[in-house]
Amino acid sequence: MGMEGGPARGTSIVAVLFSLVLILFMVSLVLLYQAISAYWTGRSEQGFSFLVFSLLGLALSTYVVTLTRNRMMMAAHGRTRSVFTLIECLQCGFKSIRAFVKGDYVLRQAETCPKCSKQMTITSVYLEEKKG
Amino acid sequence: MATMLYGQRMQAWTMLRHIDTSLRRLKAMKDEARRATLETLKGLTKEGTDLDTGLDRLLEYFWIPPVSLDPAGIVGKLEHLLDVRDDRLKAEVGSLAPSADAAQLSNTENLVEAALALNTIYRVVRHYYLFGKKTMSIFLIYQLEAQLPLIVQEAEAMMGAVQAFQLGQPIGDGAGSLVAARLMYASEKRPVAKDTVASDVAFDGRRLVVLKAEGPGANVGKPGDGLVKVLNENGGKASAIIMIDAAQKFEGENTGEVSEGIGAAIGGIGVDKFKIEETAKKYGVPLYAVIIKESNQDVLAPMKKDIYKGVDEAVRRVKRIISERSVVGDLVVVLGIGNTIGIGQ
Repeated sequence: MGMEGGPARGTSIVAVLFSLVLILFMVSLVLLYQAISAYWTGRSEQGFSFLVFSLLGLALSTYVVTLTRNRMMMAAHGRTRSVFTLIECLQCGFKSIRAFVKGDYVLRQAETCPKCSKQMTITSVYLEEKKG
Repeated sequence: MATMLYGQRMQAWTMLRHIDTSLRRLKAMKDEARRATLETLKGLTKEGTDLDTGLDRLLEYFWIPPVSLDPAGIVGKLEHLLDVRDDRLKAEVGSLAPSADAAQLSNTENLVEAALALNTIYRVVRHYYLFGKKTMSIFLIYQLEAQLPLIVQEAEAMMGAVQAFQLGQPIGDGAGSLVAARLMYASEKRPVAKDTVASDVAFDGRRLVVLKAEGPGANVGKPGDGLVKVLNENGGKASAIIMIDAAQKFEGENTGEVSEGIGAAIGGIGVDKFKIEETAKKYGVPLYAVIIKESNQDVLAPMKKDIYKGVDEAVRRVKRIISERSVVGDLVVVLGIGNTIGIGQ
């Protein structure tokens, strides 16, 4: 129950954050325009203040966007880990792979070989990681 | 102006925020390990056992290393204390899980050890975080933040072990054991020391005595005691001792790469290493080492395919060393080192 609405809440937080960053970005651009106008009209002190605030706003919005993007990419590149059991017939070389089942261990006798009817052996229990 | 006056404080706040995020991750891992341990114990306990209290008591378990002011004889003291700790922990886990067989008991004991390690990591990091927050000492906070990536990496490796111990899957540390298991497969086994088995194998006219921890439960055995017994039984007349173990790779090296050298290839606190070196020196037997390289995370995670390739290569190298360093009729002792969970023999 505690997890209900979790992803939706996460998405809305990101949406609000991006909206705020967008507003900050727009305001910074306006300030930059004001700074340039002020310099052109000879109000250099006022122009300098506008320039500082606009650059701060641009830097902050870029930083927040980069940080959020990196975190989202890291979350998207999570790995799925699966463990498999390789069963081999040491007589005829027949191999079969299946998902690990509790109780499997390396060098344990497994089911009989479908090819030569000899007892097969578990030769490896291994981890496979997939990105994405 | 504000940055000049409060720069250091702002830096401390930023770092504390980073530490807080990592601490939450450590807490989640610790809680998950406890939950997994509890779930395993529930399947092996009898009705009416207070598992929560029992497990929480175990998760705070500690051991006090012996005094080293006068180091003579410290290995014996270390071994004694570690044996007592091991026996006590096994007995405690046994009382919580009375219906567990030997392998399940070893696996559950290792699971408890992993949960205990995660609990300790969390408590230590939380201690320094809260202390740093309280004192706002930038140097304390710096040190903790600098070490956090390594600490979190170690905790993540331990989480991999939790899954392996819960399900009885072989872990990367078992690479050395697997080499020995491959060499002794289908031969008769005999116990030579606590949780340790040996097997006589004929190879290329030589007599091999292959030792490993007894699987498939989570055991590391006592390879030191096993070697002492085997060499004493044979009057020390061995032409080589070959040890195979998993070892940490450097960044840039591939998992499963194999290297050869000399010396006792064994980790841990040093009790078994001491015994092996002492015995080899006593009888003048050369010690050869073969290592299979892995990262810190691979050591405790379920074994990867690359490590199996390394095991195949290590078996070939061991056979080559035997052929080169001994003659027909010689005795060679082969020790496969590591946790043998999920590996039979």
